[in-house]
Amino acid sequence: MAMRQGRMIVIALGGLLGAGAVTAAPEGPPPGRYTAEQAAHGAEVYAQACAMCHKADLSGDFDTPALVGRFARNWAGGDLASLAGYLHRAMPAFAPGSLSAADNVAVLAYLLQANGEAAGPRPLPEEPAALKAMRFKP
Amino acid sequence: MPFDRPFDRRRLLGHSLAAGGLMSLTGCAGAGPGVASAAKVIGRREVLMPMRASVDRITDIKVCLRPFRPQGPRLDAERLGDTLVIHNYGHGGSGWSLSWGSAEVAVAKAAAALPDRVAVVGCGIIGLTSAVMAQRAGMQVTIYTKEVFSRTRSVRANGSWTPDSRIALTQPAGEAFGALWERMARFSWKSFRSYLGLPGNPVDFSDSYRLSDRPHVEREEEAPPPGKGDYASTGMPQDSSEFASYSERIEDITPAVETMEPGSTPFAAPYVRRGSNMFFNFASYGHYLMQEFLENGGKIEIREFHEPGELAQLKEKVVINCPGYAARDWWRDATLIPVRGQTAWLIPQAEVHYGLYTNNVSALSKTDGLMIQAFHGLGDMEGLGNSSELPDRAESEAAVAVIAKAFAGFRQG
Repeated sequence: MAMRQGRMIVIALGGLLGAGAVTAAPEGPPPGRYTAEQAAHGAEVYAQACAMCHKADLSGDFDTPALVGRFARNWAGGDLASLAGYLHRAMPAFAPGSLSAADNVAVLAYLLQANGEAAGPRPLPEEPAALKAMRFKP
Repeated sequence: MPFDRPFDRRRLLGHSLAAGGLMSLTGCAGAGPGVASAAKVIGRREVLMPMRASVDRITDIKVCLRPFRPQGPRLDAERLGDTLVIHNYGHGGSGWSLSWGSAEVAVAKAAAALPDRVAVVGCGIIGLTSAVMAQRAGMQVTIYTKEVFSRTRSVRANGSWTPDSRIALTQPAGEAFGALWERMARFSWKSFRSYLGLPGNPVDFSDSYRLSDRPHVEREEEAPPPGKGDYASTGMPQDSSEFASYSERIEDITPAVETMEPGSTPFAAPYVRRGSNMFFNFASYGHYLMQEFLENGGKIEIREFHEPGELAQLKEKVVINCPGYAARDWWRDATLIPVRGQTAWLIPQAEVHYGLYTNNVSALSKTDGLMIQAFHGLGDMEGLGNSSELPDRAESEAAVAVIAKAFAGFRQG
């Protein structure tokens, strides 16, 4: 019992420290590149079109790449037009190009959210020209 | 990525597979030259250990997409700013088999630009052999890749010597490709010989038995039904007869098939033919390739490219591009057509050293597992245009059951 309480305290402290770190040293862009609604819609599309391979928690498996962790490293500094273009061109692997432009950008919003970016008031644009100026994990 | 049963011959009717009628080996197209009669040893029966084909021994199901190009593999050079890109991708079901010969072609083009160092993009079987060949030609090599060899699509293949499996369509590939194919196949064949007999059997040969309830009848390819169209008219091949077949060019070095005397094998099936085929054991072969690459100062950098223009950032100004199926997205090559194939892997059986083909299912004992693959009698059209990499367990379980059935009445000893 004592141990369990001790562990809870550690977890709680960890949570506080984590929260403190986020507020003290914000990383990434200021919030606002996608809306929470967009990401929520993206999560729905993801569940339908992506999760069977990339898994519900985006962790992938031996044969399918994860969409968090290594994914962030692979795309860091890349522009969002490139990522959106790849998503639209290559995914879902069993039916590439089958996502509508709105669904595609919603999935991109969901991926930004899953990789630690906060939502904001403005929706992520569909236009490649606008996405070109945005970086993944700038 | 070779994925096709070693017995298959594209000149023969793919549809006849369903009837168990296709009994020809690669490199021996019929009752003519190349087909030997079985050596008759009176009173002796081959002793084989049975394959333990049961669903609960499945340890893995792998799905691979063969990168098929109707024109044949892409091997041209392209300038991108100050970077020379030599392509080496699109080998369909023949990537493992043609890897060395294809690497030789690509490396020769790279060497002609006189670089001290080259970059190789991709670490599948084509990338790795290209890298090793470039080192053997005196160049320093860095491989840039998303994944190391053991997680590439290459290792989801069947891994048998099938050098003209979905390698091209006869018409778009043109006359000249046959000669290039032969050069690559012969170069590869000789290259593989230096891996035979090494510890771990990176490259191996074994017998392959084809069982049937009916006598073997050689059937010439039938013309496709009228009105079906073809690649020229639809942009996709419509019939197995459109696929190129070149194996007769190397009949002189590839093993023949034998018709076995009734009762001379342990199988209960009334009609048995036996061939011999070369195959690759992924784990040890990959290890040998990687070892040579690293011992010669090769470097691997884990990196994912998103746009072709990113190659300009590399310090190497000569790049051999070996992305396999990923070329479709990475190089925007819409000519690449996915061809899906699935293999089930059962617990390895070191005591079993042969392959089997029966009722549209093949089984081959490899060091890393008993590999079982189902076909649907569609010949070269099998899996064409299917880019789903999701495993279909039911398909594999059914295939395992077919192999298990082949061992009913099997005579041990």
